[in-house]
Amino acid sequence: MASMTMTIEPVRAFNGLDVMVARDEGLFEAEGLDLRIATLAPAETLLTEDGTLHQPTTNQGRLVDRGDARMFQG
Amino acid sequence: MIVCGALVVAPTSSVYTPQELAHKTVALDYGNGTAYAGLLMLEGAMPRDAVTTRAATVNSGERLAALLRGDFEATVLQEPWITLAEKAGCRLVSTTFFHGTWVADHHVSPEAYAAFVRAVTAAVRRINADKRRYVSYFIRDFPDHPGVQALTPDDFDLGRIQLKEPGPIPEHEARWAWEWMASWGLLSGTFDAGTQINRQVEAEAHKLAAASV
Repeated sequence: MASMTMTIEPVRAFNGLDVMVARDEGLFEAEGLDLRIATLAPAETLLTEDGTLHQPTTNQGRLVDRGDARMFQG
Repeated sequence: MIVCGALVVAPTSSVYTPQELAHKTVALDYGNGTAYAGLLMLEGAMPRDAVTTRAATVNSGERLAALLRGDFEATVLQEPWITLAEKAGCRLVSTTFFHGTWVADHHVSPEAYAAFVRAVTAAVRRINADKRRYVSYFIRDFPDHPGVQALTPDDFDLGRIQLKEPGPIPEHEARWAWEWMASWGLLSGTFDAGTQINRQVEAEAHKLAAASV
């Protein structure tokens, strides 16, 4: 039974295959960690094509910034 | 996780080397690791003032489609889009690898991070023991894309799938990354390890993780 909870921002295989496998194979649970993955609502998603090199419109870190996740992969 | 980024050109492109991308438009998803990997690959091949980029969608499938339409000369892709691009006849003119680094807020406890590290370490060992079995995750990520769904695990170059057990952030690497980004005007100020890396939480977490892995 998990005794700790942690929420992270979404990952895909290219940057989080290890996390996805750990989740699917019960490895977080075995360590007592209830790992949750938060997502941004589509309407909240910023478009990177609207940004510039010096002022990017990335979505990375936004859920952490508003307290809906504790970690993201940068 | 180690991310592979590839600088890709269309099958009809006259570009065969990264140097030939000087003054040609490369589409990057600014603000994401692949965009910075793109800048690194380009600046290693030409003067900075010859690096020519434009903003592009973070959706790699849409970037690949735009590349094939001729909207720009090159872009940077990750898996499974690199494999799909190669199947479409595209050429990789450069590839690079970079760390995905977990960024945590100050609420993450050493105990929770240690549990995360232990689980991820176990997963890395399982994947490295049988990468071919796990590459199906790259296909599963895009259930609505027919091209990706047509890929099979045998299509993937396992050399581009690299995983490393998590460890503390080397300060010299963090400092170099900061200073490199500052040199492009993407960050300001000087690097301060104390404000960027909570060594107390990091050390305690990795000590806890190492004790039981």
